[in-house]
Amino acid sequence: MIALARKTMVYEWRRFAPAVFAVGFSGVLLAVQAALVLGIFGSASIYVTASSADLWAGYPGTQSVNFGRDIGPDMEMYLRMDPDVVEVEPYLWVEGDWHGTTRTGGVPVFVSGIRTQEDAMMFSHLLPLSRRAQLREPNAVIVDRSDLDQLGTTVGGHAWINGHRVQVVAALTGLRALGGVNVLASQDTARRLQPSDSAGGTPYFVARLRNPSLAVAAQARLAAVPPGFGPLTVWTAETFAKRSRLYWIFDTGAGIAVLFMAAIVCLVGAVLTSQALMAVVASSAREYAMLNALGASLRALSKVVLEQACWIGGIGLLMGAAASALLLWVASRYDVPVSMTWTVAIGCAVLVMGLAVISGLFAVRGLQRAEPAMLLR
Amino acid sequence: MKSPARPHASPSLEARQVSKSFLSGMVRVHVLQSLSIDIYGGELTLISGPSGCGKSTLLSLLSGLQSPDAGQAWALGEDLGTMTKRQLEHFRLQHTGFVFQGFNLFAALTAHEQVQLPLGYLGLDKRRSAALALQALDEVGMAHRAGAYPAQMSGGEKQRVAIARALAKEPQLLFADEPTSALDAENGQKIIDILHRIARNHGTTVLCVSHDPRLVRHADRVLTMEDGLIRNDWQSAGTPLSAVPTAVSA
Repeated sequence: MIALARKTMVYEWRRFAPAVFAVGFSGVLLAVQAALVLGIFGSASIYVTASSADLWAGYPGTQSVNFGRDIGPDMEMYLRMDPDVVEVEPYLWVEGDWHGTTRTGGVPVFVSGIRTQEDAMMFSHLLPLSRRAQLREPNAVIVDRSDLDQLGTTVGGHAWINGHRVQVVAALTGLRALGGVNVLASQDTARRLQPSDSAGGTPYFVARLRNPSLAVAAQARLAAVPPGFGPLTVWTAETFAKRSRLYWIFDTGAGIAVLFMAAIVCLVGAVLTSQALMAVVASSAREYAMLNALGASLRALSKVVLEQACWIGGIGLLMGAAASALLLWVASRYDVPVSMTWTVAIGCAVLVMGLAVISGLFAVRGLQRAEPAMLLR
Repeated sequence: MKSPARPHASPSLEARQVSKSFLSGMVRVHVLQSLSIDIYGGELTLISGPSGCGKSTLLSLLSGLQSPDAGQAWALGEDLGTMTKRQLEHFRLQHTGFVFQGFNLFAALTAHEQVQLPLGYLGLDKRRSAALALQALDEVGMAHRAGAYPAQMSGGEKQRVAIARALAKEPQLLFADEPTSALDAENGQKIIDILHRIARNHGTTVLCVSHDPRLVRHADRVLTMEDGLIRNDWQSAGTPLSAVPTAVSA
């Protein structure tokens, strides 16, 4: 069988280029949006994903890390009683009002009170040991480099949180937060920054297991909190991170808006691609009608159009993937919160190919007009 | 050389009391009116007449490209009116070839591939279809141009490739609609000769519609149409068979 679809595409590539670009652009828009969603809403779970804890224990029903409520100090003992738990540490969360030296307005900040020992779990993936050691200085804090301007301070400068003077000893990347600014401090510093009317409790205890693969089993054991211990829920780190992200994506207007935009991108991409493909089919209508007159079935001709749609999708996908990778690399270089996982990337690729195939199905309808009788004078 | 089998052979194409009308704006135009005709194999039958007389419509009914409003059309003994669209496609694939005024060649394919393409739909493997395609090109004198693309061919060459494409699957019925209208005298002559040779050498029923007067002296039979009716039926022996509104020889 003569490879009509492929030969036509190679010979008349200029006619197919608009459809390929339409698919490629749709792919770029989808991938960049997905990366932004992951990057922006992934920061809701940065506390979990940047830490090496296997289990998180917090107040029942907590939807996102930033909504923690104090749990009793005896929960640390409860976690330590599990045979697979080898380490437990508290994680303090203090909401404060930041006043810098160059700005007069207050900035809402989330102070994370963490241990400063070398084997500490919180932010261990993000915080080099040397930086963690700097936090041992009283009132020392670390912020994200991109937040310095907003906070009205510099590395080495000072500021006030809830009226207490703090000193910025270092700045990192990858610490940005949703709806505020993340500030890292030692647990001692964090306790000093708590408002005077605060109960002074601990919202979370995080635990390390003998082996991370035991997390699900340990979580199941610890989920059955015995009477006598206060209200408590234990999550695996993975579950809690996902829970936080999904809350921000689905339960806030921002996430739904982004998903709605992604749907619009798909629709616009499908319309553009199908229009370009239909134009190609229309321009070859007489040739298709000729083949139909000679007995090639509409089904066989539809296969040619669908094969072209698949080629368009495949080439567009490759172009889109290359462009997306470049754009995301540039974005990350400029501290734009973007992130991509293989699952999401494959999901985008499937959507783009689906878009091309659906466009092909639309274009197949154009073949119905390629009636052989139209060739008669 | 085969001679026309009439009057004892059965016709390969038959139309019985066929009528066809089209809506042109608010007006219904009756293109064919209760027309009956028999066409035989091994002949080049020419339907001639002025524009709009219904000759292309008659070709479309006899080839199964369109169905009549009334009456019946048979091809190779099969009633085309009872066939589904799929069955008609299959019938055309097995038995018919078409040549139109527009050559309708795929710009991306060489002459050899153009001819080979329909053979693939018949289920022939690539080697067999390649051999048949080359043979068909050779028959129309285009074997030496097998590797040429349409953009590299003259009008006459394109039409010869189109004929080879129709001829390659060795159809019993070959329909040609104004095959020489877009060609100069020399190329038109070549096409007529080829069509005639196909009818004679293969026993193919060649039904050609044209208002080109050059074709008349090469046809075995000439049907003259006017206002949706056949006004004259003439065969190459030189004597008109009849001069009646409907020409039914059976």
